[in-house]
Amino acid sequence: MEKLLKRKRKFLRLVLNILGVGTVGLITSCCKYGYDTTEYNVQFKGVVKSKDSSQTIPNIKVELLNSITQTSIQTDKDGNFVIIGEVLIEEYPRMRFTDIDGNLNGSFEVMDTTLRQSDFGHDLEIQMKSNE
Amino acid sequence: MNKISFKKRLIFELFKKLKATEISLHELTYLFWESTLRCNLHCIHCGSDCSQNCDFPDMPINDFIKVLRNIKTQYEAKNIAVVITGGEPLIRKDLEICGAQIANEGFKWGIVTNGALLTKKRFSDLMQSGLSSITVSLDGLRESHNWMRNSDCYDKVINSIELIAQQDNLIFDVVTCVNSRNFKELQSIKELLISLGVRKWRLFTISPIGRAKNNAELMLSDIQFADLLKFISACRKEKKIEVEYECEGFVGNYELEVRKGLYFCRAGINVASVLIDGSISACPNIYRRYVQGNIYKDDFLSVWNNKFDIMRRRDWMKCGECSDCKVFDWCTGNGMHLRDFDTKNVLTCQYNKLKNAGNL
Repeated sequence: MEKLLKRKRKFLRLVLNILGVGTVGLITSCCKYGYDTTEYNVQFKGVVKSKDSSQTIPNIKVELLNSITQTSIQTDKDGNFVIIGEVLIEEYPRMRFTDIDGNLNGSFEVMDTTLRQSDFGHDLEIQMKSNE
Repeated sequence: MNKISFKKRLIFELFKKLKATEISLHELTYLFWESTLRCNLHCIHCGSDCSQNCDFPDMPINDFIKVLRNIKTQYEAKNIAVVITGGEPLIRKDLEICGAQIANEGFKWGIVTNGALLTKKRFSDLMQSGLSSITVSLDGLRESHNWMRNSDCYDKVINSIELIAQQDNLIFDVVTCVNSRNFKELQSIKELLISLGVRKWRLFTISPIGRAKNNAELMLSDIQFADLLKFISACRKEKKIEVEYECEGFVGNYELEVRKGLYFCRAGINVASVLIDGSISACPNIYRRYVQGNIYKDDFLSVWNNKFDIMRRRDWMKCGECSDCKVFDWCTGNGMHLRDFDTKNVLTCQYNKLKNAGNL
């Protein structure tokens, strides 16, 4: 019975998602005189490198795709980044790396990655594939 | 705002089914702990009617830990948020010890505070003890805030907000009780919070309970209430700060415009509380006579699993102002904290306020 109810809940959440109601709006338990529990703050730092040459890559757009608040930054001249956002308690953070300066510093494919618990608290090393 | 659109009607119908499923499952996800009734302030709107000298002693942390261990036999601790409330939780000198013990049991914990007692040292100690969320009240610019808080605490609160806003790995929001005095300051408060680095701001109106029920100046007129929702809706579109209207009641076509979620009073469905005397209830601001058990006499999980019918089956709320309401099925009688125990009537209805203001 419980399994059936959970399946029904999952299905209804999915349909409501399709109709434009965000997941966070369906699981929120925030009460008057209480605090918000649906999200957690994350902070990731790391470096973006070329998979082929291991050179660091500046001007890569780094996005936290499923952050509640819009989060996007660019790597600095040494390929470093620090990104902060808020992710739903039941999700892992998803990041996207995009080359935004064309052929300058080389040309790289867009890269998506999902971070796991083991990535938390460590410096990330992201390796991007060359387009050439 | 116009009548409820077809799409929203469809969403409300589906959400009604989702709510029924949630009620059948009634998974505990949110637990208030009224750890103290002592308070450093004497706010004019207080729902708890707290004071510095209180008849009830603070609840020993070990009594509450026993409840958490009981809960862990059925639920995963990581899925439940513990909210330490009061009174003013910071008045407890052992708050850090309490928090660390709660975290040791695997639960996330946070506090709701008036912010006046927070210092840099205290904040650092709380973070060390695993604090994961904090909510601070700011009820206006200097004069309005101090009036409402009955104390010259504005600067202390602003310092606390500034301090907390600098912390990255913490869920933080500011809440404001909107009333007829601070209503005209909302834009300025918003700008102030943005300048302090605050990213989330929750607004709610004051319920006619506790000390507030005898103070008409605290209540918004129907037109002011409609304007408040328009303000929140505009702020959300602007996206400079995440502004939300608290989950107080059903607001018709403003649903999804003024908050990320749809209105759903989860009291007794996902939310429980352990009150200062050991009473087991839902949100602490609900009438005390709706109490379902007591941790000193009953097994918490047994009460949670087998009682709370009055909060899970709300057909009884279809009386008084709600008796012929066309949106009752979507609203199911407004928040539990707004339901008078004796008359069973709703104390205030946000939907009717909007209707009266010509906004529905």
